[in-house]
Amino acid sequence: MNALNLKKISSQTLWGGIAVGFTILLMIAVLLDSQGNIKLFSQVVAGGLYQGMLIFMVAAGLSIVFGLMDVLNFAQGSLLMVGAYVGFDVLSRMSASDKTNAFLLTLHVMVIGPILVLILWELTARLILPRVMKTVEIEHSSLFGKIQVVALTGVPLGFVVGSVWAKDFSGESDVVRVIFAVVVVLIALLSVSRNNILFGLRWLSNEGGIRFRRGMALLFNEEASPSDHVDYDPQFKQFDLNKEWLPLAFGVVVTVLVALVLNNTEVLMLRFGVAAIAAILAGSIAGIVMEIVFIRPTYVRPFFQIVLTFGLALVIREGIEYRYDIDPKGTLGGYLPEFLQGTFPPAYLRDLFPADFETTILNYWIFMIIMGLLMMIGVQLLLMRTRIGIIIRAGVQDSEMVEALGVNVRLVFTGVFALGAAIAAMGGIISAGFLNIDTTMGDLFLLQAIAVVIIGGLGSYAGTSLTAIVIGITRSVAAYFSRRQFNTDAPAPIVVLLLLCLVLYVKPSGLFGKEH
Amino acid sequence: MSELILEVNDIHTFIGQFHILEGVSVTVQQGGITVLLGRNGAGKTTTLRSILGLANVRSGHVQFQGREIRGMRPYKVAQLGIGYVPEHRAIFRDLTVEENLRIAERKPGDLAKRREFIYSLFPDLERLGHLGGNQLSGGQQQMLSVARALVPENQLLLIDEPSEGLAPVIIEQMMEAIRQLSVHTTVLLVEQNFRMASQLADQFVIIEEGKSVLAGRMSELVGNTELINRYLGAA
Repeated sequence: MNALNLKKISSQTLWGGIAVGFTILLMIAVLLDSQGNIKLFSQVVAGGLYQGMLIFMVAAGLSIVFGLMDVLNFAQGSLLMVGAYVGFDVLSRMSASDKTNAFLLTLHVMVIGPILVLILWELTARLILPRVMKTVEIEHSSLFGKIQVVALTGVPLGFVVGSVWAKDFSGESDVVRVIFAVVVVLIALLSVSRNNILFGLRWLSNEGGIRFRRGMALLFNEEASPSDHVDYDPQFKQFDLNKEWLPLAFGVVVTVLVALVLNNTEVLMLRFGVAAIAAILAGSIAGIVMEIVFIRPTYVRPFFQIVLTFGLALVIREGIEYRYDIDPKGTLGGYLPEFLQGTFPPAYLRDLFPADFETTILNYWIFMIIMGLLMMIGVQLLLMRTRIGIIIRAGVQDSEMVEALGVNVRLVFTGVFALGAAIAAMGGIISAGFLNIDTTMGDLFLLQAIAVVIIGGLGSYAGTSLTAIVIGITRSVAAYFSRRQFNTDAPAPIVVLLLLCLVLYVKPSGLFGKEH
Repeated sequence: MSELILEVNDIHTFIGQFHILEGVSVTVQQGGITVLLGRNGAGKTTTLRSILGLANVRSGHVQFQGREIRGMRPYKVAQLGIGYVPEHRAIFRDLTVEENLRIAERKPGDLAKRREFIYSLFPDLERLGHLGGNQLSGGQQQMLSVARALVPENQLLLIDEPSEGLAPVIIEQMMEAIRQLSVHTTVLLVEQNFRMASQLADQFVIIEEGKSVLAGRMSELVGNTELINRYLGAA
């Protein structure tokens, strides 16, 4: 038994090492061929990395969804396209007026505030509070409870603070908006202190009732009933510091800080951010609808799913052609904030580098690489460190047992599908900043993402992440050599497929896959 | 007569096209251990799965604490307070022992409250916490599987073949653990090992070819070699 495990672990390390070694070899080949031209070399590597990240954003959803539900979703690429088109739609519709800008700021604070509050609160509750207050037993409430508290404090506060602080907020009083904000804040306060208020009301009515009955008994010269005495559940008596008031205070401070920072950022950045939020929302809603309406009824008939998701991809493409017509929309390059345009180093970092330092790497590539890395690490943390992650990893093996433990697996399936769709849609708007928006953009990524998921090992998230980078760099290097030899980079995608064939021949379960 | 915690009344269960249970009735009283006996393939496991909602029950009633649970989704049934220890253990191999326990929490803090009790039953688990589920021996996996069902406060545990494939020493340990946990929690046990079943259980139900045929007090069955031979083969 033990020897077997040892073999399994070393097999992952072995194949991971081979993949990394292969990538390094490719890079050395470029370095030698270009005779030490660092500029060219860095361009090939950065180009490979950004392509890898974009492929990853499609492959991530594909991989997790396949691992958990055994569904190979051929419409994942279409979700990327949905993200790109929705982003384009939102960006091209926004006017440049002050009111729009104020609205954008408000929206940002409302979205970013709660997320930051949640993250910072988690860190505080887990790292700092136990050290400062040793006597206080910190009871971690459920993720849903936290999200509720955070959303209820962060969203309305963001609304108020964002509205008030917007740099270009015009003097016209928007009474309805203010009243709405006040009402939402009150609801939030009520919800946070609900237990205490309920306890107060119950206490009042109980004690009042008891005194009234005693008085009546006195009036009629009767003995007061000894049962006229109420015991309260101890949990309502104490003031719950951790669950209620601290997060609230936290929410206020963090939201105000977020608003302050955002108020001083470029308006174009806010616009791009709002478009990204819209794209992600649209993608996850599309994912949720797909899962609930189409995929859920076919879990028992796996073959149907392949045909079904393939059909859905076509339907989505036709829908987009109907809505936005077939002409390519160009890139979103014109809508990008200044610091994402031009080549590295950007203007605000110019002073850090020697005066003659120049590269051919676009700032936007670096942005794409950073976003991809953040996604990669974020999902990895979600899978390894959270309860949801434990449920997903367990569900990959035996979802029936997870259900028998009291987890609503159907809901988890939908959530995971939505997560994968959201990542793809985000990949869509990010790639649209650099690549042409048209109705075939999803298909290109889908093919490579499928190759990545198979090479990495079906259902292995780590394998998918690593392979996405390897494939990205392989493509970039292949394009470099074929440009030199044939003056075209058309053969580059073929190399990816050759690699796929090779891996299937040598290790059919993929680099990190489990042998069955 | 103590209160009924579970009442299964004449259920008919299908797996695909196959009519597996053709009228099974089981009553489980609050407290103590009830054992389902019967030959291989008689339908004992399917009975447990039917109670949880994991199998397709076409007719009949399943009542838990007076509430009809037939047709409810399995996670809802579990949340009412039913723990499940399936046959072959169903440990999550890619999760650590600690994570295997954490996944069973129904609300935060469940594990913290029960940890001491769990370790008192299965001291081994304490030092194995960081190991992966795939690194455990069969006996350790079985202990983890039972421990997992103890994390939330369940009123009823469904335990399927806890002695299957275990060494005699481990079986003794497992029996002792089940005896101890049954002080707080009602247990419905499926067990082929008649010696183990007879020492643990207060009540028995015999299932044969998808029908429940006999039920009563364990003490009445133990001396009756004729019944044992007829329904269970050689004891």
